[in-house]
Amino acid sequence: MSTPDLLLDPQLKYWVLLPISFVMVLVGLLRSNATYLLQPGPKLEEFKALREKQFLKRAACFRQNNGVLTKEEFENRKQYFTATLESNEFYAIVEDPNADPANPLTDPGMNDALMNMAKGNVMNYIPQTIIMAWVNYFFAGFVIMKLPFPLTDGFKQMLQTGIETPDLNVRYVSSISWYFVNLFGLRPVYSLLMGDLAAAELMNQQQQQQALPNIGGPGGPKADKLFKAEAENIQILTHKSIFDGITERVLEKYADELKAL
Amino acid sequence: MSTNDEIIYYPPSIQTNKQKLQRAQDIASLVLGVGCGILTLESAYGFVFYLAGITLTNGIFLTACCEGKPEKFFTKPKQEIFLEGLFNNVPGFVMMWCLIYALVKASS
Amino acid sequence: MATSSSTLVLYFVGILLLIHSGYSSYEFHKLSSLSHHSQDLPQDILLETLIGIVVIVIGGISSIENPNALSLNGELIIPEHKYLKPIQMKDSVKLNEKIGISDYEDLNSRLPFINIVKKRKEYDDFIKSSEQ
Repeated sequence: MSTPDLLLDPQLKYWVLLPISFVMVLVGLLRSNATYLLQPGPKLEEFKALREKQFLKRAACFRQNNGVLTKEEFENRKQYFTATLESNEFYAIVEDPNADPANPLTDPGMNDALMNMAKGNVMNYIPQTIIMAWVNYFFAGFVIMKLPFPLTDGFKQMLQTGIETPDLNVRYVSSISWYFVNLFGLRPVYSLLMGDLAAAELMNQQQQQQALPNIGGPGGPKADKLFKAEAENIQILTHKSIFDGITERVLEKYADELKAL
Repeated sequence: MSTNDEIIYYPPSIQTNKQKLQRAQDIASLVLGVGCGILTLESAYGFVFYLAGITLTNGIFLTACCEGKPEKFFTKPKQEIFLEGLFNNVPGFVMMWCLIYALVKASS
Repeated sequence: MATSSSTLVLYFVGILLLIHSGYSSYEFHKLSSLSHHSQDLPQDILLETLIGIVVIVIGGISSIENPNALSLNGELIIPEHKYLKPIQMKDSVKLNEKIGISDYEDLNSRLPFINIVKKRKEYDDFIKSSEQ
């Protein structure tokens, strides 16, 4: 470099850079453990609501796997599913069509969901704001490091807050920019510290088994709409059994080997 | 009826493989950042170093872990191994680079 | 996943190499700033750093190894692929079948599918063997 380097006190590195990183890692770990503790346990679902979901899933399974049934079985089930899906036999709550639409804010289920979302957000933002205020308050007003890569002057405002030197190279930055670098860069560190691959593997396997459709939950569609749609889907199904023309297909597939014999 | 050539995937395995790839790339990006800082590479050289290093890691991953047949373990092998990890891991690399660069140059 | 000892050794060696080369680099910059001669970094530091990086990356890759499994009958089962899991359904269920478990166990063990006679026989055998 043509311009001489700015002489920075080495003690700055040991008493500013490392403490900020250390605190951010610890707070991150604390936050993830706290969110885990604040998570509500699985709720006991009302049997009618569960039955509604399971029936819908059953209908969907029938729609996807109807090839394994014979013609007669298929027709029977098709009739049963279209008839039942259009009746209100499996609805969790039979709604009065004339009633006013309920206010979503008074619904207790909705309230719970909102509460959880709020908790998640609070756990995300409060620690970050506190650390940022802490960094700004304790380590303000001096240059702590020189970045190894050049930046455009647009970053000057953000990365050199508190340094009243208009012509300083943007590569010299204050503590708040180290905070930002940490904020984005610590993800792999967290995942190495907390991530247990074996546990994640088990989790993946469990999740695969309990995929039920989301009905009537916050943001989810109403049950009657889903049931109607499923009924229509089943109505237009055309049946083709996997055993149709099986002899020809098997012979065709193994034709070459048969010839070889 | 499903066609003869339809491939049925097992979602937990897909997820697990992605997590494993991610872990390998996490470690590689952090260590490359440390190395870059020790060598006190600056600006473009640092990023070229990262690019070469992470591609090399992906290459090792491809030959050692996928046994040369990535389509057996990933749905979109080329994109998942070489492209996605490239940009997601830049912040971790930059963080370690800045830290070690500052520490190594502390007294100069 | 219990981290295997070879992974730990690789991490340890790699981190040691990096710390040493980092400290060498630190001393070098200190000296070169005192002597006001800007020189390139010595080759041995460069080499040491690169070796350190490669060692840790290899350690990282060996840390994602599949663990060996123990089947329900107490046999040790070594997975077919060393690092990853095959994503096709037909390949990925092989390992579970060898172990003796299945993701669809709740379907297979529904009441009409249970072999009562076999279960009773197993129970009788168990009682007999524990009486002896």
